[in-house]
Amino acid sequence: MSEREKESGRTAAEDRLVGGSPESAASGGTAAGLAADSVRTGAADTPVKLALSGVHKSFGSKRRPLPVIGGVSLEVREGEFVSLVGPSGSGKSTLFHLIGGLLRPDAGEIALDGRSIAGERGHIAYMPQQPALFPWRTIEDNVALDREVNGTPRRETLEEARRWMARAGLSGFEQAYPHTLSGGMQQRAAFVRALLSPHELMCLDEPFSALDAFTRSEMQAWLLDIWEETRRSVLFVTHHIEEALLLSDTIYVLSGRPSAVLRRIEVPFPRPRREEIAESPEFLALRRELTGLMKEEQRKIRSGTFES
Amino acid sequence: MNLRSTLAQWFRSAWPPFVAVLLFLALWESAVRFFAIEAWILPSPSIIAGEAARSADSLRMHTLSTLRLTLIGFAIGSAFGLLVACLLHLVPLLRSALYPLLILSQNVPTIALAPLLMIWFGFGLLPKIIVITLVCFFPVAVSTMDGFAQTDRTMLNYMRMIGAKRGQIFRKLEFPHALPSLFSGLRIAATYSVMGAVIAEWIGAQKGIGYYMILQKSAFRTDRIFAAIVIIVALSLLLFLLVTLIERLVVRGGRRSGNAEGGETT
Repeated sequence: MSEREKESGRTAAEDRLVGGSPESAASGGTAAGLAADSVRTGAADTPVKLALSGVHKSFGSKRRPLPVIGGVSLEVREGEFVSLVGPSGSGKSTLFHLIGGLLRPDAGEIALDGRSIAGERGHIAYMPQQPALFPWRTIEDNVALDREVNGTPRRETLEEARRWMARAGLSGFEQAYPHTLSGGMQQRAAFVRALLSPHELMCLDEPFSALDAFTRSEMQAWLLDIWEETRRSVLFVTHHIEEALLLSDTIYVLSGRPSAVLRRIEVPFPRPRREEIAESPEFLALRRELTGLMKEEQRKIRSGTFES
Repeated sequence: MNLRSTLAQWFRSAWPPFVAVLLFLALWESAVRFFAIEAWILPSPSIIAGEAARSADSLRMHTLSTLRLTLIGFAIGSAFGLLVACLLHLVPLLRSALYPLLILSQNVPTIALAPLLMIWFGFGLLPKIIVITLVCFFPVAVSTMDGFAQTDRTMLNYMRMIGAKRGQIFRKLEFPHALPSLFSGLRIAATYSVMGAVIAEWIGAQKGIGYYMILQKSAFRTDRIFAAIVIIVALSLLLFLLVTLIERLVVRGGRRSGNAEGGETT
């Protein structure tokens, strides 16, 4: 089932790559030229996996609502790697809880494959910020957990699980317990667990933020590699701009609370990518632009808190 | 190699208390002899040991009777405690209604209910088992519920995000997560159950260590009472070790209640 999905995901992505990327690279050589609409047409032929339109969510009481998500619209196409970047406290986790169905939007629509999934659980693969491996399960049993929850007996998953664990450098640790592994290895196991999920869309919530800088860049390269092989639809939350630029096809920049999409950026670098693109002038220009946006937002938040 | 180092480590930590006990016994022995204390007030350890050896047969009979009672009561009480904990955890309304009452009920000294139970249920096995059940129930129920309540938030969030159903969350996450807590409750219950059995036997029995103690008290056989106390301590330790052993077999991943710190960080 998921094997087939992966296959279709790859072909869809390849279509897009052939049809879309060279055009977009040609149309917008500079960062400034990459404004949302000019590029969006490039990927229009790939079906939309996940679409959020005008999603609102507030917390707090009825009388004094605290708006956290203020009308977010975004989409993830099949086989697309989409990142959300935004200042801390911009409600990125709330957005994930909305997509995961733990919360219901006050207004707006969340659709997966064109069908509304607002408030419904069990449609996505998920990788949390902390690896959240179960300490009483061996690594391979942990890796099989998502499949298990979705109704596949552990035994049927193990072979595939072991193959992916080998790709994640976890060979020899199948029977180990999580506490014996390093932070990076635990995160790789958590990623493989999400990868084995029968649900095509993967939501990754700042998966590398707890790692040290060196491990982090190692993990980015590894993820880039694995993802370019599998081409799953990915929604990736980070506040690390370089990470987003290196990995993503599309980046959404979120504003501070209540968050809305400030800017949608198509990342023009062709696949397969190498880490060296981080030194290209295009990359640096995009990074500068994004950093500027983020700083601006961060400043607004700070002055906002002083006002109130 | 591993076993050897474990043994060496065990020996290193075990010899100081062992020597302390030996010294204490020696002090006791010499004090009794030096001050010429009469045996019916405080017999010396050697007299107690001698008497225990002489009445080994009757002690064995009483001990086995108490052990049987303890194990039955412990099993029923713990099972009941675990069941109630699961039920209250899974039905929030029930929990909010009953949990405060459960805590309050602990101010009723269970032991004080024993005479009442004897009146209601006679002098057979049943009232004694009820006493032990009541004594074991509480620590197991409360620490298991604590274990459920302390379920790791990130893991819970993960399970919800991937769409796990309530039953799956309970079976795959909450229950295994609460196992170390369950076992620390069981360890307390194990010691309590021996105490509960002895007291139940004080109040009404035809055999058992508690009955034996009452009998010897009337005869001022202090030495035999001491022998009985040693047996009670040994029984408690035995049950405690049994629970610890089962925990070692059941709880995996370096997070036994003894070394709970090890599991979290790397």
